[in-house]
Amino acid sequence: MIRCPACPADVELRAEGQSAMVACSACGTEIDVSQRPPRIIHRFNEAPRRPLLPLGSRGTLRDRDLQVIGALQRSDSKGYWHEYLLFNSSTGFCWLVYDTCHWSFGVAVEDTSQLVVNALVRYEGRGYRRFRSGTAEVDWVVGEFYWGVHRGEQVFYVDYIAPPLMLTSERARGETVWTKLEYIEPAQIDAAFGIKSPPRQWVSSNQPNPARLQLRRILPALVASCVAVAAIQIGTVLRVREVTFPSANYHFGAVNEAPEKVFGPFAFTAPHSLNEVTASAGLNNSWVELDCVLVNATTGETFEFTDAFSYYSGSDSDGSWSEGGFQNTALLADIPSGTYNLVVEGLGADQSGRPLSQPVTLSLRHDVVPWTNFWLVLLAILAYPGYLLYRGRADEKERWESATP
Amino acid sequence: MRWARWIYFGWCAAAVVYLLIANMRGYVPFSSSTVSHGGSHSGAGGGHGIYYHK
Repeated sequence: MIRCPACPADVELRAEGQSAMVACSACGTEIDVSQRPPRIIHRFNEAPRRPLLPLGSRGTLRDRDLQVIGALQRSDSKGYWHEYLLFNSSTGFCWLVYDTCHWSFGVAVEDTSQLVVNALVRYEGRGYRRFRSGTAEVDWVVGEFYWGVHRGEQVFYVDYIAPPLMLTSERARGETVWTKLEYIEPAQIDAAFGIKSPPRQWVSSNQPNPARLQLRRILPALVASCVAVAAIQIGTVLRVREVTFPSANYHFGAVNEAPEKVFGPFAFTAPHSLNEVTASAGLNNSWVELDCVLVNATTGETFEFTDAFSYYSGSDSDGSWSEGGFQNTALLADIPSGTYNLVVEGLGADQSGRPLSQPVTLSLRHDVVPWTNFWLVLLAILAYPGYLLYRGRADEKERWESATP
Repeated sequence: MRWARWIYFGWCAAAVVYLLIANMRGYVPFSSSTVSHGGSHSGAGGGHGIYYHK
């Protein structure tokens, strides 16, 4: 503990013997404590700074009991960030960097011979991409530091990222210092130091991509579901009977007359089945509507459906056009086993209202593969991963928008 | 987002169970038929097991 030479406040020294300077938290005056008696480097008389992590606060991070002993703010043309110096008497100094609501835990790179600096920096087996560079200036300082940092000091920095890691080189007065930073969740900082970090607004330089992280978390469920869906569908394809009954023709009656015709019997052998009734005809500017009833010959249970289609074509100032089609397939779902008759009443006419002269061909397929379920379930399973893929790309775009050449 | 993992897990499980049951029953959504239980239809059997062609 020393008395500030510029104001009546006491200045606590938490790493005494290892600190080179201390900035009074009451008035901001920078004091050289490497000499006795302490000497004023720069005198200030301003309101006390209140950093997010208060000086002297303690917390446990990475299995280290750490105490905040210094804080400073740097800024460049892009914005500002805070750097906190933490101290443990056994392990020494480390850093917490707070940048736009994101935290990183940093340690100095002692052995720089392991660094291979090219367009990509390689360190400890990982490649780091150059992300940002610039000249940063110290805006203010409070607490103590092991080197003579002072307000207005400038460094040229380069950040290289390999999320969640980042390497930062800082060059000043002909000396380059490297720091290795690792992204740390704000909740961990909050729990360790008993603070409340502001909510994150965007993806930071070395933040692991949140969407891709989530994609990795759900990957086991995604793979297991896709395997299960494929197995169920293959089992269904192998199980269904797919019986195709001989096709029959339905002939239309006179104008506004819908003759009733009965086709069958059809033996539905599957306990519960999906069935297709396809009606087709060579239409030309005409329409067909068939009101159909599938009747269980034993129980009388009925399944009503409509098979309707039309085909029109012509030409106008834009050229030739056509719409509709020559057939329609009705799906009859969840039909119990039994013997069935198909009762059909149909109308069909051309543009002039004349009844169709050609018949409609009806084809019935029993116990077909329900592909609709497969595609719907696949869509349901893949929708969220698809969103995460999209979100992940958007997050990366956002991350690199804050990069500098 | 951790809770979203468990919601997704449940969602996938429900989807797989749906596929299993629907395929076993030959059920598909948006099918064309409407069921009328216990009714009868003229000329088509109506519980007597007969049929004819007009």
